[in-house]
Amino acid sequence: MQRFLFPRWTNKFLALLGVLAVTGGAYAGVLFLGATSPVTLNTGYRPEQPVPFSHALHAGELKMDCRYCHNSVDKSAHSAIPPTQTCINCHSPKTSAKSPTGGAPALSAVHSDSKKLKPIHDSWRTGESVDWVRVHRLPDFVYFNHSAHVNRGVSCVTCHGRVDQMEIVYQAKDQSMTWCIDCHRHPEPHLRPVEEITNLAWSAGTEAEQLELGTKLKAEKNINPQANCAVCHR
Amino acid sequence: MSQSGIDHQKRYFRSLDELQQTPEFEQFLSREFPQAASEFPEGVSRRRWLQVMGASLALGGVAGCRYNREEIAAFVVRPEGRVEGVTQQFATNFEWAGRVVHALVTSREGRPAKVDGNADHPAYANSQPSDYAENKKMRSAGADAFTQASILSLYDQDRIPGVLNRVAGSKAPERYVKADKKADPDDHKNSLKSWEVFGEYVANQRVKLAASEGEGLAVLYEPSRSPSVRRMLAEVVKKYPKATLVRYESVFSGNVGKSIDAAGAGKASMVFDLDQAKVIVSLDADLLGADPNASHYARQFANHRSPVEAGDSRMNRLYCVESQYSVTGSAADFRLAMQSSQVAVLIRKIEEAIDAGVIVADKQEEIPYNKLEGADRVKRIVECIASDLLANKGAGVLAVGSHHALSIQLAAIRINAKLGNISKTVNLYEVSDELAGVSSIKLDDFVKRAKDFKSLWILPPNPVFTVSGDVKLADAIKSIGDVVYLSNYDDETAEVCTWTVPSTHPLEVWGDVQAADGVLSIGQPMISPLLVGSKSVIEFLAIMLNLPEADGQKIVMETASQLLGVPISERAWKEALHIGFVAGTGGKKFSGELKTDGKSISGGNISISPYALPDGEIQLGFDANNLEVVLRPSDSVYDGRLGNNGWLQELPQPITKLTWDNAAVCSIGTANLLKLKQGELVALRMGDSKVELPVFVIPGHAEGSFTVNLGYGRSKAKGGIVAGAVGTNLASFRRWNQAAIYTGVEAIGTSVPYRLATTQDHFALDEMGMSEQAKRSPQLIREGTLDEFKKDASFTRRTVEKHFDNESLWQEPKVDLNHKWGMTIDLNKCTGCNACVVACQAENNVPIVGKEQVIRGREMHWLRIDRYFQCDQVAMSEAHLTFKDPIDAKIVTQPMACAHCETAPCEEVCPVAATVHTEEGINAMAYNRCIGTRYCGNNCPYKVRRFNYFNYNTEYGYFYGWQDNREQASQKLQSMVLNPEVTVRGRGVMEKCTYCIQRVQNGKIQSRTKGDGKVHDGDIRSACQEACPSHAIVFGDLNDKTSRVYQSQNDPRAYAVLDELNIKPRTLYLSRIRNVPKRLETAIQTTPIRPGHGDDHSHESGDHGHHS
Repeated sequence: MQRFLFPRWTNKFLALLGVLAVTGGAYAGVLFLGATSPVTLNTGYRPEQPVPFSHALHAGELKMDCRYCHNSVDKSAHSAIPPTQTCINCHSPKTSAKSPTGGAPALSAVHSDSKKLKPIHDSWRTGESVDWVRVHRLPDFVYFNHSAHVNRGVSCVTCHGRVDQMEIVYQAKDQSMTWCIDCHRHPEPHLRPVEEITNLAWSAGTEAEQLELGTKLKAEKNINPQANCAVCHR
Repeated sequence: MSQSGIDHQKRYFRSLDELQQTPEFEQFLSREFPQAASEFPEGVSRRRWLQVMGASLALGGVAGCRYNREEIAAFVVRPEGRVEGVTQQFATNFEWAGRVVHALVTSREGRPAKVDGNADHPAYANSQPSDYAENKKMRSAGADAFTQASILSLYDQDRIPGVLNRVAGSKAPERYVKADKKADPDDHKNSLKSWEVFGEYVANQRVKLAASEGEGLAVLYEPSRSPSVRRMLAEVVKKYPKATLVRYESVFSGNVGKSIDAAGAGKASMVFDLDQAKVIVSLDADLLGADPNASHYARQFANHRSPVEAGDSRMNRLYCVESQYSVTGSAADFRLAMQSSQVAVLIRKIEEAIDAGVIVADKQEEIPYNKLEGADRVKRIVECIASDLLANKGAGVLAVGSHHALSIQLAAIRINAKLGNISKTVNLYEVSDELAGVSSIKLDDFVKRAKDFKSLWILPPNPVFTVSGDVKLADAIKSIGDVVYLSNYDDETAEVCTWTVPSTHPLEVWGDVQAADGVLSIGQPMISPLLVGSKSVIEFLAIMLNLPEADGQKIVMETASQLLGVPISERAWKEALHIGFVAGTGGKKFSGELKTDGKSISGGNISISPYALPDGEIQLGFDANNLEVVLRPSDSVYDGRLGNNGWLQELPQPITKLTWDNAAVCSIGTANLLKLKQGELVALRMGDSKVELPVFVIPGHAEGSFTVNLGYGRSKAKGGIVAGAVGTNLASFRRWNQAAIYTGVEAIGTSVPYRLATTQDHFALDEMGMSEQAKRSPQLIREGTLDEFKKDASFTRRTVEKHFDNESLWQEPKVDLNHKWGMTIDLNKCTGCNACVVACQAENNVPIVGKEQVIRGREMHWLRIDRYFQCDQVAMSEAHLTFKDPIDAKIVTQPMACAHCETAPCEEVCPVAATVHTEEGINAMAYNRCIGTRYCGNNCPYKVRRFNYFNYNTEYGYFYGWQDNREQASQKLQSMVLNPEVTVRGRGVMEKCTYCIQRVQNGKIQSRTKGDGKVHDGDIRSACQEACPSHAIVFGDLNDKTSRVYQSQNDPRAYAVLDELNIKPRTLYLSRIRNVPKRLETAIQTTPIRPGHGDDHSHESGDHGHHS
């Protein structure tokens, strides 16, 4: 078969092609890096939950402590998702008329026949779990420990943002490795008295005041976070 | 080199290949990754490769944007006391592979995840070292390899998921998951039946049996340490008086009980108190290895292995005479290799010497022990043993292997009684016997009378496989026809039984055990039975007998009440579950007079002849007309019941370092004279018994003796995903009347090659090339005698020939003010029992790789135990010339894992900084950074880094020959054993010991959240340390001057392996000290050569080997 040869006049496009290749490559590179950055990928992730639970209402308006539901946060590596029972403490379903309570809810009757609470009430009746959708997720090779942080004065708000103002919870911070390490190297801007960790609205005042307090707390509690690999990767 | 020349230079080697410097060994030595490690996958064209890579890149780009959507299934009602992510520990007890386990099980989110010993159990609490008494956190019970691996058997993918019904003569179903699978027209007959169908059968059966009072019913059982099991067996005869109990022990040890009974102590169990013993004589008794009490004995033994005498600390002396090298033999101060069949003669000679009552003073003899021949040698040994026992009356122990004849057992009790050891070091505990007065027959009688029986219940695991070939149990079962078998697996026995009922794993059920000390210990379920409906032995018998109470817990409580004499209270029961045993129980110590003269014997059915021992001369040399074969249960799979446990199959056996196989182990001399070769088959014959299996040659084995492990050779079809087609079945060789020792054997080499997967040459430490090795290997292993230590406590550091002081090329690492982690391993306490290896595997998600990969040197164990033989150089070269074995070959074991060098060579060569140092001195691995260049592995002088050639953890099963759809199902179940605190490594990633970094980090966090902010000694223990029965491994903070590890690193015996490289390892070793009687010292032991002594190197031998 005859070999195909480009005609000579196409040569002038060669330079253009070169320029295109270089700029195109650079553009694609920037686009790729930008698109795959944890800031782009992770922040703002807001999945729909089976029950439209409002943190803004419960934690914000009603001022319930975070630990009423997430009660393992200061004891364990994980901050537990509450069992159905915790919801039922306030939102018991209506019982049947024949029951000893005569149709009244067993415990507390907040929205006992709400349609939005149906998955919770179903779970309570059937014993099946409510499948909540995970919002914040670190890779499996990262071992983050909640109790190590909250017991030393790192507030929920530092990593999760103002959850008390969120109707639907979304990921507020990118939670990337650099973001973690920044704080491990300079924890001062993020330290507060342990009593205030679940007070998301708390502020030490100005930036300078926060730094002063942080430096003081760091020295007092001997907080020297390490930044080596083995701190989080095992 | 020293001017004293090559004479009597100690020589250490790990295998005969190393000694002979074969090309195979050289490859392992010089190449970290020996075979085909760098080759491109074959059979894939470059174009295809690019296509695949391009496609996966594109797909990866799309799929990798965000993590998958993940759902969290929260509890509806959270169990009381449960905190998600926090582990809980529960005490439980169970019988496992012939031994009793007092366990503390770690439970993760309701799923048992790790099994360790319960240090609070009286069996362990009373034998802790005295200096551990103050710090309770340092106490540990230890748990042997079998116990550590028991967790994997729980998640075994081959367990049968339901009742299996087989019509006689038809084929087994291929799979059980779907009973209606189209495959076989017979399938509907053989398929899984529901419990209802089985229930109908049982109901019919009950009617029949009730009418005939159990006429024609036989129940096959194995002797049990569980009082509930014994009680339920007694119930069988109570309910059906005409039923027959058939007793069967796959590993026979009945002669011990008989001898105790004959001595007038009745039904009692014998336990040695090695804490009190100053002299221990083990005749073929593997006290520290195969004995059911081994981990208990190992701790007691190690409690008194300190060469410095102070307070409670002293050094005992262990003599060991045995045919095959055992764990006990390697830990012994003095060991003699002698045929097992000559133990009777030896014990007679010892007894005669004791009767003579002459104590020969222990002083150096003119002719060293190793120059003696034949009878002179035996004479001196017997004199030494007898003198030592006589000099330590009431503080000595003479133990014989439980597989030996009754006459030998009787002699051992008699000698111990003569020496006044009974009730001091040799304790007899009266144990409850629910089967008293219930008669049973032996299995061979049952098989002969098979036609008398109409139905049979089988309780022991797989008797058709474990029984000797001349007992045709399978035929007997087939002829009976109506057989119910309680089993975990669809195995050789299930094949011939009509019904197979799934049995439970001990971690799933209620149970109880009484160990030799008679303490009633309760077993509680850690998880509901994974396979719904499976039954334990007691539940099974309760159902079959239609007892009013079929609930496991109620049965166990009832037994406890009967033993206590009063109903056990709710409170006492809760407490027993909490601590693991019923407080205040325990066997009564026998304190009466033993009748050892053979004249007044209880029971009256033992004639006078068992008291007679043969006379004669002991033949230590090779005699072609007097060959023996000794069959012992395997250190890996026991009698075969643990065969489907991959951790144990791949565990290098303590002495041979053999994996995935059994072999005929024999000495160099025997192999040479019989013209046998390592890795070729030998035919062993005795009359019409015959078996062919591969030869494994090892120094220090008795001449004219072969040792073979039982439990291997399951068929490919019946053995399960792991055990199938591994090793050789010995049924055709075994005879019912001979339990363990076969004499008058013929051995014929066949020249048929066979590939054995032994790890003994893998990861050999090279110091300066082969030529330097002979000279320098004593530096890896440093040892001396107690005499030498007393003369010069610092000899350990003088072992090294040091030409100049090292100066570091590196910038010295930063040392954190908070912690400085380090480890010490005491070679004097390490017995090489392998418990730490399996513990590490369980803790750190170390995969198994299969036989093929092991042969390529790709086993993944983070912690290996290097086993070095040590011989006199001269004896060794003589042995080569005369085809004789250097029978004074000694063993030193050395656990070897990442030493966390302060100036780690691996870190310097990593191009991507995937392995880096932490401020606390841990050499950390960031798996996600690793790109698999393997430079670090090449640069590691200890050869402790392991590379994932494949996805061993996910492509489970593929590497040992299974490629079917079972793989998928097995993955899910097997992944339940993984530790979520440790990353599961994928293909192409390097890994190694991390000092259990997950435990270190969690310990630090806990000290701050729950404690006083300080980490105390014992708060953080590595998995290997926790598992070590003898406290040989100590881990801790070197900045804490009071810590055990700091103190031991400043011991004069402490040294660093390959210290001269100036890599400053954080793991140090304490040198091995042998307490050899002077009369039995070899020339090299009497005059050791230390480079630091008497030569002209002007160097200081002071402060190296440790750094503080």
